[in-house]
Amino acid sequence: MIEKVVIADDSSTARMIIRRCLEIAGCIDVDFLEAEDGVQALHFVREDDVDLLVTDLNMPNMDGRLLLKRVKGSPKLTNIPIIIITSASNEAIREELIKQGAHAVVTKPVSPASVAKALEDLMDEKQWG
Amino acid sequence: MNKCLSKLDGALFAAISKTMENMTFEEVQIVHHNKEANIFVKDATWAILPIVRPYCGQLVLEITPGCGHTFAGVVIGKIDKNEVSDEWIQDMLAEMANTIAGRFVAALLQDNEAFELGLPTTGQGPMPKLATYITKISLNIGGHSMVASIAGDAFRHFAGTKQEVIENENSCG
Repeated sequence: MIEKVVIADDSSTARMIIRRCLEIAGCIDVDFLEAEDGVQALHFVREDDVDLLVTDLNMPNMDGRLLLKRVKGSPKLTNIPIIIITSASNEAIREELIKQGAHAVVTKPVSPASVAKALEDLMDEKQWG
Repeated sequence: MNKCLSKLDGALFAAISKTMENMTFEEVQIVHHNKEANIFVKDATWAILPIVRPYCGQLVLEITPGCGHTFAGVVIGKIDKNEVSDEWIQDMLAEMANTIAGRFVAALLQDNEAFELGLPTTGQGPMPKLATYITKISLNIGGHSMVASIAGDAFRHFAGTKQEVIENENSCG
């Protein structure tokens, strides 16, 4: 069951679109925490009991790559699934991010369908009820 | 309408079409494509997105204030014009530029080539001086105007060959 989700993107427009897509994809009654960069997102995942981290790659202060590395490198946080939502995506970048521990990579512009597919894959993998 | 475009313009137009269709549900039409075109209105809202590697340059988007309000109404969901701040419009345009740049660069590269984009800057009115403009496309998006440009010499060689045909399925004459 997903109860708390961190959405990290420096664009408030992007955060709103991602949140809307997640809601349409089934994340209802979910507590969304919005972060403007990787530093804030890392703070949220450290302080809160987060079920899912959805992050952009290109952000100021701490980008999505470093955030991914920090979360996956921490024994306490490593189990938090991460969906990367980025405009800078092709097969090479996708493979690299999956290798680094991302569970899914969704290319912008996001749609409810692409977010739903990523969530579905995650559910299958994690056996969330 | 037939349009025979360079690889550069074709990739840019395809990236804009897909992005705008997805974000604003609007069809995109080319009005004019010419890097020398002296197009646009004063007080335009603009976004500049650096393209960092493997080709270094910039994607620039410019829209009219009216266009910004209309797009924001759809993307952000605010119908009342007074509810849409300039800050919202600039943030939305930056996000559009980011998405378009990603699709544009990906279309120019092989699938196994990585690329990197920078962080956007936005504003209203006069823009900072940019590197050499390689192409400039004027677009009609649901009755509103947008100008999209690519700056940076690294993109020049993509502007040479006319090979893409868009807006219908006929081949270049």
